[in-house]
Amino acid sequence: MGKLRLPIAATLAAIVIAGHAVLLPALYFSLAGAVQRSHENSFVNGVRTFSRLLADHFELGDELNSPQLARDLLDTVILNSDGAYAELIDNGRVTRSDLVSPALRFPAREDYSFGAAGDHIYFIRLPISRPGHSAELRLGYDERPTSAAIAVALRRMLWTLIAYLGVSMTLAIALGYWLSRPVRRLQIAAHNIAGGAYSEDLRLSTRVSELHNLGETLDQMRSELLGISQRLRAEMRDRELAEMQRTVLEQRLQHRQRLETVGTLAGGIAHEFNNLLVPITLLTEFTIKKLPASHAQRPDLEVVLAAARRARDVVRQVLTFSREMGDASPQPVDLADVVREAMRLFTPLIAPTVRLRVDLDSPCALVRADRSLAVQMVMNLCTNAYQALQGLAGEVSVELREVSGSSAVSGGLSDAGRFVQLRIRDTGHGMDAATLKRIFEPFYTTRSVGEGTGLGLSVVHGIVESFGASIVVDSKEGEGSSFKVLFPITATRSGSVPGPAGVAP
Amino acid sequence: MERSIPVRPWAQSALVLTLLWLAPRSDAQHSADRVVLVASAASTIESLDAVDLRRLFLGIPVLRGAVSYHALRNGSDERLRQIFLQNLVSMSESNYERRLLALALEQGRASPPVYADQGRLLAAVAADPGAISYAWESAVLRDGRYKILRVIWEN
Repeated sequence: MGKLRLPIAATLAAIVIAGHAVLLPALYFSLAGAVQRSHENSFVNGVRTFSRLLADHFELGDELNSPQLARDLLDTVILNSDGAYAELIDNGRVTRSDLVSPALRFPAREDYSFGAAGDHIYFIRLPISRPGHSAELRLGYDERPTSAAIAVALRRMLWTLIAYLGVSMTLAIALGYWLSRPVRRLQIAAHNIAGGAYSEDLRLSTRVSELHNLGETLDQMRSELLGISQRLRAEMRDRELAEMQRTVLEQRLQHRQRLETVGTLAGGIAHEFNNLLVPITLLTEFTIKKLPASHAQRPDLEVVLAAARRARDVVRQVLTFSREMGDASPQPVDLADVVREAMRLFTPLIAPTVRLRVDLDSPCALVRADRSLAVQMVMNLCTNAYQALQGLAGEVSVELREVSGSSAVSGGLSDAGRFVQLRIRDTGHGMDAATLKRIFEPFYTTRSVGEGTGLGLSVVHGIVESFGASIVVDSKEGEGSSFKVLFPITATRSGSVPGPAGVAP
Repeated sequence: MERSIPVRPWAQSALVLTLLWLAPRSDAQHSADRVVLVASAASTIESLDAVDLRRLFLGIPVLRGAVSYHALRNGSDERLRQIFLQNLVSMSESNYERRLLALALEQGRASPPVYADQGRLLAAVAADPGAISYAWESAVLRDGRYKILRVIWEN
């Protein structure tokens, strides 16, 4: 069975009721006893003193010798006090006040305490010592006025205690509400904080120092909790970001390993083909030179030579993809110049329906690259973008600008530092996810047979890798594609070398 | 384990009869008795009025000739105590005690000594001509060592 829990006001009221239930009866009976004893003592003392004075009067005065004087004195007892009975017995002669009720008789035994006999009259008997007289004074005093006074006093006391109880209850309930109001406010604020509303202020506007201090302490806790929560959220964000980056990097690593495998295979094959093509090309050229110009076989040999040269170009491209470029000579270059040179070659090739937009940060920071390979890379990317338009109207944009590490992170790089970002976008048909995974594979193409070799983007990948740069592709079907190449900055124009700029391809 | 004391039937009857005989005896004795004011037979005092009596029993000595009289209280009997308060000092008990205390504090007067044993009280009265006390008349009536000054209460 659970504990009974009550609000503060009800608890205080219950405590007051319980406390008063014990204390008030004890207080009432104690006070009632004192009041009653006081009244009774006063009565007994009064009647004894008065009776003594009266007896002294009879002992010293002439009343014993004059029945009329004695009767008058006895009448005085009835008239001037709470007297109910007054009688004098002197030498056997009885003198009684005429004001005494005829039904009233002096009892066999007198009273020694208030209300003892239950007849509401306090009877007292005093011998009178006087020579020649054997006298006794018998008096009775009405106890009822004193009883009534006691009853009134007790009733007043009872009402006073009831009023006191009422005031105490009211004060207890008021105090309970007064105390519980800030506590309720704390409760609501704590509930809101538990629901995530950390901005809730827990400080209390109260005169109760303990509650005020409690509010201050809880508010400090809230502030600390808020800080901890913010730190935890930031940490969770960082972890999620790190996890995302790790996933991206893993995917990129797998992709790269696959491309390296393909590149190694293609490079090996290309080498073998190149070795085979060398004697074919040289012997064909030698034979053509030996044959007269009008020789019938000469055109056929020229076709063979042209085919061998095309095959050599293909082999060179394959070797470029597999990064076995023996003649590459990386050096600091301004990519803006590279892009301008590529645009001079590319612009005449595009149809009038295609808009070419070039936006370059110039001068741009220097990056380490082979200039001719860089031109080829830009050309291949632009050609790929142009072909993605499939002869329709559209736009190819080329942008070049410096970006910070945080901007680069969004592109899949985790290293801090500064980069030169080359971005080539098209408004073509875009690619689906399956295509996106394979675009850098050699000989992979979405075009019809004979329309392309499928080596353009493979060559781009090889060049980018050879520069220590990184390439990121975003594409959405129907909206176009974006190729971002991030080059770590080798040196600024002023010659300073930026911070760490390692690139995780 | 409880042990009962064996009582013979005749002893039980004797005990009951004795108790029945003793129970009303003291009351009957007092019912036919009087309370009297006593002094030593050697005392020269013959009478005391009510005012002097109150003085004495409030601890205020009363001078008669060369003798200073003082009071002794009889505390041997509850009935005597009630009669003393009502007929002798004519005050309530609390008022009497309060007056004694006031006199002691304000004037340094000693309260009358109280004797719980009537035999010792009467012996003290007999030995001291200045001592005044009260007792049942039956206790002093046929004893030549005492002088009865007045009747305080009579049944």
